[in-house]
Parts: sequence; structure tokens; C-alpha cells
Amino acid sequence: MIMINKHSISIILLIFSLSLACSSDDDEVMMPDILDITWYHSYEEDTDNYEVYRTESFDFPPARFRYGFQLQASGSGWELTPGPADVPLTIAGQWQYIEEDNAFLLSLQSDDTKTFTVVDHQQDILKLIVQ
Amino acid sequence: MSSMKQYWLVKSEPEEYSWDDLEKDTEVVWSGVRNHQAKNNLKKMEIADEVLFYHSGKSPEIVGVATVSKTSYPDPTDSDWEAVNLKPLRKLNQTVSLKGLKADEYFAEMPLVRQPRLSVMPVEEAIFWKIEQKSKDQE
Repeated sequence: MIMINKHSISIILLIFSLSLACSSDDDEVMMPDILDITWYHSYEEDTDNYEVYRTESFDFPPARFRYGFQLQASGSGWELTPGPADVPLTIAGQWQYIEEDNAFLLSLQSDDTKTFTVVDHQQDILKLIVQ
Repeated sequence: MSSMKQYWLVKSEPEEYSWDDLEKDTEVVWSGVRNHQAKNNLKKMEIADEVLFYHSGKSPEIVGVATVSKTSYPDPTDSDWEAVNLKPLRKLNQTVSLKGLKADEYFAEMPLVRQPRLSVMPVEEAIFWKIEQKSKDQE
């Protein structure tokens, strides 16, 4: 006959809770929170290893053109690029997140594809390898 | 008196980068040019050349005169292309519209009229001063 007392029940509940918590962590996609923000290339801060992107509120040095992009929570995205008549052009696309690479793949309507591999992200600064 | 100074015209969408932006910034990297003819024109620019600043878009017009403050160097946004630095010199008393230039036979051969998609172009000295004069005549 199995004897279950209050102490045993507590231990069983604790093990069950821990098991649920671990399972939840395993399933969670730790995607960087960079969506619905326009990121502009702060090329003055680039290093040999990564490119630096900042939000619009950053006090950028004056430049007529800066590359920018936005990934939206809806799965759409766009980039701002110089156009054929030197007028900045917005090109739309769709993005997907590749968890194992911590990278965002932006497939543009221009048939171009950009891969943004996240090196580091803090609030309003994003360090990327762009391919 | 002969002058070695050259004269140019650059176009910018005012929503993207306007004359007011240039005055506020006091100097700008003229980056983002992706047309080969425009790139070649950037490479020919010299310090102190004067540059007509043109707003393209819905109401195309010349709005001011800038000067070249740094000659061409690799565009920091893409090193295959070129950039220069510009500083504002003076705002035109009255803007000179593309419509007004097209209506005047004197400007018929101007690249602005003949090559509407070119964003950086040379301007003959006589044409440059005629435009300055035109901006004063409209007062």
C-alpha cells in the first residue's frame, strides 16, 4: 500500500512545476525584440566584425542618405535603399526568423534577400552582420 | 576675369533631405547617389564649387546655393560609390521652379531640362548666374 502524506504531495507538485518550467524554456523562441522599429545604419560606429544600427531618435551625424529597415510583427518588412534616380526607395518584403543563427531573413520584392544576424541588441542599438 | 570655380546642381526629395535640413546641419555628407553619370559628376567637384540645391518631387524648384566643403571620397553607405560634403551658402530670395525654367528658352539646353532623372549635374556659369538673377527678378 502506498502511503501519501502532505509532504510527499508537496514534493510531487514541486517536481511537476519544475518539469513544466523546463519544458516551457525549451519551447520558447528567444527572438530579439527588434520588431516594428525602424533601424538606421549608424555606419560611423561600424567595426570590422559588425554593423551598428540605431533608432530614429539617435543623434546621427548629418547624411543625405542612410540605409534603414523595419521588420514588422505581421511578418512584413521593408528596406530603404537608394533608387535608380538617386531618390530613396522603399522596398517591401517578408521576413522569417532563423533561431539557430539568431538571424532574420528578409526576402524583398526586388528578389534580393538580406540576412541580418544579430550580434547584440540593447534597447536602441542593434549590432548586426548583414549579408 | 576668368574663374576656375565650377557650378553644379544636386537634387533631393525635400521629404528625405531638404534645404532646411542642410541649414540646420550646417554640413552634410551627400551620400546615396547610385547613378554612374551622377557619380562621375561628384568626382569632378572641387572645394568651393557652388551647387544649386534643387527640391524634386511635387513642386520641383531650386531653393538655395550650397558649396562643396569636401571633395569626393567613397560613399560611407557603399564604398563602390562616391560622396562629397556640402555646406549651405545662401537661400534663394525666391525659389526658381522647373516650370519657370522650362518656359524660358534660355534654359532649354540645361541638363535639368534635358535629363530629368539625373541627380547631380554641371551647370554653366552663365546659366548659374541667370538663375540667381531670376530668383531676384521674382521678388
